[in-house]
Amino acid sequence: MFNKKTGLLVAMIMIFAVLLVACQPETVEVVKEVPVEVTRVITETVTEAGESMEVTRVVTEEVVVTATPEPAAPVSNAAPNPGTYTTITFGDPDTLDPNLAYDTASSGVIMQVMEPLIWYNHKDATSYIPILAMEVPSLDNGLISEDGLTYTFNIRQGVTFQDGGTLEPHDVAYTFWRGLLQSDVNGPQWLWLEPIMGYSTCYDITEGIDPECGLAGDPTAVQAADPDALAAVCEQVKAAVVPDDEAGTVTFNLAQPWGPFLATMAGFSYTLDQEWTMAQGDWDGDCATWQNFYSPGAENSVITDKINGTGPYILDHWTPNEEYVLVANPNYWRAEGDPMWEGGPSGVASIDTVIVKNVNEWGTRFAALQAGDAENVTVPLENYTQVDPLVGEICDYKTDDCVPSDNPDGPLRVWSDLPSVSRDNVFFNFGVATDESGNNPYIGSGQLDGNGIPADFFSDIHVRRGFAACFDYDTFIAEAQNGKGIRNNGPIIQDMLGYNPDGPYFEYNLDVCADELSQAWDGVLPDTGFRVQSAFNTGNTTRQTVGEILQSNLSQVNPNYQVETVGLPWPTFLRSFRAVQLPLAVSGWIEDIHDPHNWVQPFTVGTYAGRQNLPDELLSQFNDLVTAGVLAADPAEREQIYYELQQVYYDTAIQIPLSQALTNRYEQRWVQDWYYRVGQFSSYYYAMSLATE
Amino acid sequence: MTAYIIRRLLVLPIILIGVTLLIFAMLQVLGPVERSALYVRDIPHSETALDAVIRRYGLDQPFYKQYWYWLVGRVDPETGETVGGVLRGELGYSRTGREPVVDTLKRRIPMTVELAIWSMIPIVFIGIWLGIKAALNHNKWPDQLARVVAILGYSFPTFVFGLLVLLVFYARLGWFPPGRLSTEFSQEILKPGFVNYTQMVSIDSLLNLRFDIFLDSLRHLILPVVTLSYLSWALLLKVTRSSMLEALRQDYVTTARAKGLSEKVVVNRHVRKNALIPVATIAGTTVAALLNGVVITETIFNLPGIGSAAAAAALSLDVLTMLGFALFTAALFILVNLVVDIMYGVLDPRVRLE
Repeated sequence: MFNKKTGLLVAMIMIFAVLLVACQPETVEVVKEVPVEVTRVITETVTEAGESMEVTRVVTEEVVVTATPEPAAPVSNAAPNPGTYTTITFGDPDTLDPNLAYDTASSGVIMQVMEPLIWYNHKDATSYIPILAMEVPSLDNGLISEDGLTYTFNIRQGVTFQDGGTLEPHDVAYTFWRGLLQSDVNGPQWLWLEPIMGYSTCYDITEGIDPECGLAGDPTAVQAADPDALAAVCEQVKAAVVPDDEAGTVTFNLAQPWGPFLATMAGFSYTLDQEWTMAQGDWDGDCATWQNFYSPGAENSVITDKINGTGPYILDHWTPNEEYVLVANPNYWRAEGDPMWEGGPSGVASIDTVIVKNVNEWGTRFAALQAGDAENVTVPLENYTQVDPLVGEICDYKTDDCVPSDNPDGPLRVWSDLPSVSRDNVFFNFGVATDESGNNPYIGSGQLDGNGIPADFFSDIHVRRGFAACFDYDTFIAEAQNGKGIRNNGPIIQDMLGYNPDGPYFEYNLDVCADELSQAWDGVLPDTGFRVQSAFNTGNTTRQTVGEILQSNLSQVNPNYQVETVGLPWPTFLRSFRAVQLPLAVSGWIEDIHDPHNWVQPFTVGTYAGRQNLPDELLSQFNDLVTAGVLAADPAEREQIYYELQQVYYDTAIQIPLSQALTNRYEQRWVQDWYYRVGQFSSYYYAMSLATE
Repeated sequence: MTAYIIRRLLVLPIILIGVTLLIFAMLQVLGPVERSALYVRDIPHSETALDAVIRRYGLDQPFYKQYWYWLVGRVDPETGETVGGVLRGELGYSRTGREPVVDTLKRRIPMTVELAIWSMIPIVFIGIWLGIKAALNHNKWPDQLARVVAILGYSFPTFVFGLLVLLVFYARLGWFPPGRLSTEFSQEILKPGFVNYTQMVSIDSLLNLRFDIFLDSLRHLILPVVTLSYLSWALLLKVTRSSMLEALRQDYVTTARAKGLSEKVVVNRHVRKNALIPVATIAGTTVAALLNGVVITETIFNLPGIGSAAAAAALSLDVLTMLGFALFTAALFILVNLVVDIMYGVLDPRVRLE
């Protein structure tokens, strides 16, 4: 019995050992020392009987040599299935309605199937190419008026939608009318409402009826509003975006000059076929009925799961939370030999089928990548080290140059250090809101007694500078961003127009921190100390780390300086932040359009300025610069304005700007022509191909 | 018996209302702001977004009103028509599923049922068979082997076992991929020529006489079935073994042997039937658990069943979807318990369903 038991145990152990060994990374034996028998002919001089003479001998000896294995056959980089590109990611599209889509997954589908009037010129995020327009408007070609208030687009002829309709200027205008009138609270239309309608209080079309925002986001209230007022707003929208089918033009009459207008057009002008959209049961374009389609939410849009565009791909099917499949549009309008940009794609798409699968589990995505069943998978930052051993070449997204990795036969290619277009900041509240009794749960006692802070604690610039000097930026990048981050020294992100790389950075220096804090509040802080809460939204460990770094370093400077890191559920965090209740908050921004205005506006005069309760004189100072920047048409002039803004931002230390994350993209080496444009969230499959040999 | 079944079925709607009421009540612990998380994006650009969402979805309404609207629907002020209402067959819109909750359930249940059917085969047959063998060879090597296997089975976390077999048999060996079907076949079943009778690929492929698709679907089912069944049949093995050992020690077994009956007759006629009552209870619970969705297995092997969908809904506080799944789960457990009760009567004539 004992023997049988032992045998059983041994068998089980062996099975596990086999499994574990199977999971080990493959090891490649490169060199080996082996003994070899060598035969040599030796000629030497010997002395025999006093006489020297030359003799020749044949000797056999054993020597140890280093054997190099035969070089392996070059890795085949041919795609196993050159007609099909499979990518596995997580995050499902929210909607296919281009007027409502405001998430990266939705944009990822729409940008393959639909087309905007103009788009970015390949990797260049600052110049544009015409797509559904015949040319990009400019002052030189006269399509932008001298006062910057009128933009005219000549619409391309001979373009057909996938359902058979023909693109006409009224389709473009209808798309804009519909979007502006929908004004969905979770959609991107706020980006258009300010330049086209001049609405910047509610960022909602109902601002034209109730400037106090009482109707914003409330479809029931809008449907019950005065019909004349409703019709009047609709007519204003139609007067702002005017189609002329005979002339083949669409004219935009702006409420104010708008520097980022073309950048917004490149990102948010995907065009619907009016007749098709109406046939689905959507708005018919009549000003008497638009209120019935106001702020529908993705679930109530009749085209939330349908899409009909002019683009190079057709949506074959979308199974929510599982996959969507795109097939090449055989009737795509762009002729062979008419490249989208210099050296770009033309004609029908090279990849026949694109499959985008939604798989939340990283292990499953990784297994598919290893098995070669996916051309590309989304790799979380913390798993880069797991994938890196499989990388055969490392590529630079700016130059497209690739160099072999330490494992040149590795099956994967990595595009490393792709800068993201998002960033977290630390926000100081200049005047925390309190209730009638002066209480606020986040400021403790509300006094400088060591158990709290006064409501205007951060209005003292020495406090803000002290906190900025107590933050260890390198540790943050190393620990929270796994070493992949680039610091920003102002509200604008690196490499964007208006970012001054030579501008000053906040330096991590505990002596400076101690010195600044000792000057604050008439020098009482070292004795009284303070206790303040740093809030972040629960689950965001990066933002949690920010609070913990401050907590650690400030207590190191003086044990009386206490920071408590508090995680709040996202909506609670948002509501408290909006209500100006958080004394210290860590939050972030993802750009909508690749333009400096999309950064300076929210950080210095818009969203965050309000939540920080910035004083009027500071707001006014920033507002002058932000307005000058957005109105200036000349890039050089804009750049100087933003340089100045960046300096004021540093001098006043209203926030601590942290760092942009750098990401990697891993793909099979048979993938060709992928490219990265800063600010582009999804691959553009039309430009890509798969190697056949 | 019939009256008993009818009585049990009549209790079903009351239990369903109780379960959903309980969930609704528990969710009220979270305020409207927290419950708006499902609708509000990180970094919303409109300051009015949060209030608008709360108003729009009635998250600030009293708890009983929200429940009533969910149960019977509400009247649209514009059209005067009643919209929604579970009693009208509308479970609402699933934000996480991006479709009506009913559609999510319809789409997800077949995968879970298919997985459960295939998993039950090894669970029942291997589990019970090994349990009987172990008991009949008490303290001999088959018994020791069964005990080791059982201990390994229920002490091995699913996610470790699942990921391990995935890495070995898919990433390394390329034998058994995850998902439902290979790429070429997954597009094939969407074509008009392929009729989806049951939405269960392995069964539909047989009904369509597409044996290539059938084999491919089996290839995809092997790892999740092994992962699921290994853990479950270990439990069934243990219960069967204990139950058999207990039955073997009973006086009537000694009497049967004393009467000179062969060991085969003693086991088959007198021991096994009596030992299967607790096994039926465990098997019933296992079936219900499998049909209720197995989150980790479905997630690891990328199978679109209801377990992973329910987990996603719960994580996003998707109330309507959670309620839909709660209804399904409650109904399922009641029905499975009913079947188990009926089986008791079949297995043991002493048990009477009065």
